[in-house]
Amino acid sequence: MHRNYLRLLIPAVLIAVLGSAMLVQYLREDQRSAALPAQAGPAVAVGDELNLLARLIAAEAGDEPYEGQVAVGAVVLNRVRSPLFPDTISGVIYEPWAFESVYNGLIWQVADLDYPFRAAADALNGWDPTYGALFFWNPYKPVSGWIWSRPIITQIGDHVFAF
Amino acid sequence: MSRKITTIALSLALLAAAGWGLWERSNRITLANAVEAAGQCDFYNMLNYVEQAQVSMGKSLASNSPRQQAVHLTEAWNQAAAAHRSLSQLPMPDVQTVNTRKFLAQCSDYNNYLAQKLARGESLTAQEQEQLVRLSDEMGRIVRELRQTESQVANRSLRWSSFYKTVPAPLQTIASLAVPVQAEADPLDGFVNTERALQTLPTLNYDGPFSDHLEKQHPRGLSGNDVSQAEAEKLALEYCSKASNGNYQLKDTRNSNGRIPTFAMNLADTNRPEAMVNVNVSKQGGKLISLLNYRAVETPTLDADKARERAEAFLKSIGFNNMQPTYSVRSDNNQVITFAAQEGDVTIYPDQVKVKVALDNGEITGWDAAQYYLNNHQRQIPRPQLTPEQARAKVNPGTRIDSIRLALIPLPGGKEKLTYEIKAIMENNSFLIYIDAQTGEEERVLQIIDVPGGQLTM
Repeated sequence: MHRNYLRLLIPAVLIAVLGSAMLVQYLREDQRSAALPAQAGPAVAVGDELNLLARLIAAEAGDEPYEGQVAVGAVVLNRVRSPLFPDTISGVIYEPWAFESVYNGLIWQVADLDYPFRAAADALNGWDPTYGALFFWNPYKPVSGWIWSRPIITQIGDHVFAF
Repeated sequence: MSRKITTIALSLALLAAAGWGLWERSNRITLANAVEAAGQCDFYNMLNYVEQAQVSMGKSLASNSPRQQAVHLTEAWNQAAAAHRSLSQLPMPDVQTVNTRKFLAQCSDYNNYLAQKLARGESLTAQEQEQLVRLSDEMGRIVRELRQTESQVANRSLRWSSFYKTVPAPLQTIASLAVPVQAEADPLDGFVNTERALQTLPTLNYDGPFSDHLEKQHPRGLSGNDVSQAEAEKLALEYCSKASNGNYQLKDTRNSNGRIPTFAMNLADTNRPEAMVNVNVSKQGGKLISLLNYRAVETPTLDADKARERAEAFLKSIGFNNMQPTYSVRSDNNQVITFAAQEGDVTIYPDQVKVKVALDNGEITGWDAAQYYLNNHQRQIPRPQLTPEQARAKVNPGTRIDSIRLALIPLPGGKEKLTYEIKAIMENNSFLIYIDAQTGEEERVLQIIDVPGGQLTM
């Protein structure tokens, strides 16, 4: 009798694992849209781009010093003005493979937007700690060799900024 | 009995797993198709717009009427810009398109410049005609290259969605070790060849934002000898104490070689742990280029007027004497005020600085003079040929004129022009209209948009 129960245990566990996997899959897809803070942070008077920019800063440079966060925002705005990139903030941010956080979806999952919002407002108001950077990357991670050929401006925190 | 149950349960589990797998697969295929459709849409859009832009440029060259020429140049301007937009959304991770993008942006910009020139009643010089022929030829070459790629897109040997594959790291290493088989024609060769051909394009100089001569811009407003790092650090402390009272201590210094080479310093106020100040001092001349205090600003106790007074006092303290407040906007609990230089009765918009004032205690939390030092130089400001009354008469009669003053404004291509700045109101919307003070031509129109705590111009 005891044996029989043990035999049932294996399929029961299997079914439970499968079932929960499916459930998790379901819930995660639902959550994606629900987790988006619609209008988090203070309403600042510099346009609707603020949400977009703040979320990118949070995803790309959430752990960076404030100065580095402003600089990431400034890179996006410098790109908007450059002939090498799209001419809108959304175009620049959602350009395929332009930002890792868009590719891996982190940009839609960030929660701590307090500093990024302030950094985005400063960038939109004209502050650019790099004076013209178009690229940034983490020198401690593998990146394409091509990017190192750009003239480097400076390093802030864990990001190198370049023309 | 229990064996039967086990068998049934296991078969059910297997069925469920298989079903789930199929369901996931069909989801994935649907998503891949959506990505494929978006990629193909962008590709065909790009091809179409490049073809159309070449045709439009050809038409304007063939036409003999300035009106028709302007129409076709305007078309080419928009079509080249649209091609640029489509190209930038194409998912090609391993293909660089820097030169192609620059070409399309410049081409679009150049067509716009020529169209505006015709609209002003001027005609194109022989040199400009030649440039246009050259650009049109290049455009034709891009069309030929992209048509090659198109045939591969059409027979499905190029799948845009395939670029979104994720390959596990170990497999990537194995793949990179494998000796490549004799390379077939890559479907993306069209883009690669275009990129190579455009590498050697001669420079294009004209009055537009993407003109080649602007890339080499250096700060005109800085003079004098370079300061040492120690001097810059001393200056940073001085500037900081002028911005607000505190006991500042240098934390770190960083070298920065952007458009304005600076020493960037972080300073901490030992009295307030949360107040970190970042200060940028120019290497040449040791000027304060920017300052940012990171602290969160609490509930406001000051109004915009008080904030302006604080900002003006700060300007005086660092040697800016003739500055006029122009725009002011509330950002969080800060007031950001833009000042422009004033020479006689002329407002010099290119020489502008921004001051950010914390509305809780009135200290200066931000300063940005990058624009000022990039543009400031000795100017010969001409005397206006028009009287203010004559300028007023040039404004759209459907508007009500509120105020008028002389202003030097920046134009695309790094030029400046003396204008009358006229604030006009039309159907409850405010506009700034700029009338050339010499010729009476309308140079630019800006709309003033009211936002909470200030105004924006667009």
